[in-house]
This record gives sequence, C-alpha cells and structure tokens, in this order.
Amino acid sequence: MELQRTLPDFARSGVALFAISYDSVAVLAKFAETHGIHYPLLSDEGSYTIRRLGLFNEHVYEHHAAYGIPKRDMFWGVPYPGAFLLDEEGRVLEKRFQQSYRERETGVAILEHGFGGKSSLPKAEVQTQDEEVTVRATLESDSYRWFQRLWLTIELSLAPGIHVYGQPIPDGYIPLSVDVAPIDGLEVGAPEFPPPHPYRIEGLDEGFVVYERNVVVSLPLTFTKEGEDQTLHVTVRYQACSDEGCYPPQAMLLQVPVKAADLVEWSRRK
Amino acid sequence: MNTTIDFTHIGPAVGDLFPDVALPDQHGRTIDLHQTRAGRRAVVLFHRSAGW
Repeated sequence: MELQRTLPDFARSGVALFAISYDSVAVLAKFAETHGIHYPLLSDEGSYTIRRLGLFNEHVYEHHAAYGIPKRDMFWGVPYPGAFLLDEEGRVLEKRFQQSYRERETGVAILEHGFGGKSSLPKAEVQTQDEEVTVRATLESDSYRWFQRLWLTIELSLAPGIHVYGQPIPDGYIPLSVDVAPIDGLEVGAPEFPPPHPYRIEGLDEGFVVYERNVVVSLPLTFTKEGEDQTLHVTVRYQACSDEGCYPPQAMLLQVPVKAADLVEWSRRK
Repeated sequence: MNTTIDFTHIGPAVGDLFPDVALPDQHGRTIDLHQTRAGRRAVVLFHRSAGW
C-alpha cells in the first residue's frame, strides 16, 4: 500500500507510524501479509480504544447512504478517518481528518505537509517560464488511486523587483489565480494561497497586496473514478509588474500527466 | 448533503498529550504506542476496516 511505500521516508525523518482499526488480529495479519505491511497495524476489536478517544464514527451510516450503500451492522464501530501527528513528547501537533472514510490522504502529504519531511517517491512535475516568472506545477504522486487526495503545488519564482497581485484587488487588475480544467471524476478543492503583503506605489492612491520572489499555492485533488491515465490542464494567471510598470497579463498552461495507479502496477507485472 | 464534521473537538485536541494506547498488532504482540515511539514523532492513523 501507499503508506508502506512511504515508510523508509518516514523512518529517515524520524517519524514512527501506527494504524488503528477495529479489525481482529487475524484480519490484520492477513492484510499485512497480502500487502507487505511492516508498520504496526493495531487491533481495537470491539472499538474500545476508538470510543475512549472519542473517535467513534457516528456519521458512518449517513455517509454510506450518500453513496447508496445499504446500512450494515458491521460498519458500526469504525473510527472517524484521519491521522494524529504527534511531536517528540507525544503531544498532538496536528489533526488531519477526512469527512468520509472514502477520502484518504497519502503518506507523502502527511510527511511533507504535516512534518515538513521529504518523500523520495516519484512526483509529476512540469515547468514553464517567461522572462520574469518561472512556474512549476508538482503533483505529489505520479499516479492516482481512487478517492485518494493528492496535493497539486504551484510554485512561482519571480525575478528580483517583480511582483504579482494577490487578493483583494482593485478593479481592472489581475490577481494570481490557479485553475484546473474540469475532468469527469476529478474533484478540485479550493486553492490555498499564502498571505500576500501590502505594497504601495509612489504617486498612486490605490493600495495593493502582492507576492514577490517565491510563491507556493496548493490545492487538493481527488479522483473519484477509477481507470484511465489523465492529464491535468492547469492554468496559472497573473500579471507581473515592477515599480516602473506592468507586463501584459499572462496565462501559463501546464499539462501535468498522472497515471492510474493500478495500471502502473499491472504494466510493471507484465 | 452530508453534515460537515468539525474535528476540532473530536478526539484529543491539538496540544494535548496523546493518551496511552496499548493494543495487539498484526502479529498479536501488544504494542504500547508511546513506548514504541521511543521519543520519535509519530503518525497515528485511524482507518476503517482492512477486511472490507
């Protein structure tokens, strides 16, 4: 599984990994053997620990109903899906939970976004540039799995003295924006922008907020259909300016290829 | 539309010491989470069944 593949990177970053479910030891033993899992899969049969920690999933039937899955007793007892990130003292650094157990984060996202570590697994990366701005798009994995959340990161490197606008922005100016063209079965979350900083130009009444040097924008993507290799069409819009004036507005198109994970494994087996 | 769950107050809060947990692993050995962590940072992942 994906977390197992990330295990060496977690170890290098000094992060221990534990998974807890309500399964019996026998079920976990079979799962670990089938998938070659070496980190501890802990058995909370009866969901006592899950209850004690206040993580008993009261919404599981509601979510099943939304997916058209009939109510079954065995679903009752699962925890809310997600992860606690602990520091060296065992304190909770961060809680990364999902609304529904179908959605999953990758180990790469937990390691890189949560702990600031570095994964060695392949990413999908493309880059384009004009004279003032280099734009790089990186998808945290070169392949996707059904309902796994993948972070797309857009990194702009601006030449010295150059800025692009953030939001809010006066009418007539073009703020930095990132759009992913719709694909059937792709859910695109809201982009997360870093806070821009105020900028004032001599002789102008209007105030602006801008970005300079390096800007990193992240957005979560979830593929809700299985099957085909895809290409993400990402458009990054901005207007680069210096104190002297502005360049024409730009729309940089980046095409990020992403493979369907099962097909990758299948073709490797051949 | 599903209820949106606010996880702030579900389970241990940010800044809390994560409670002691000791459970059997896939080999049937009891794993004490904090002891096994041995001063390392950790991810404690909660997931649905591995059986379905």
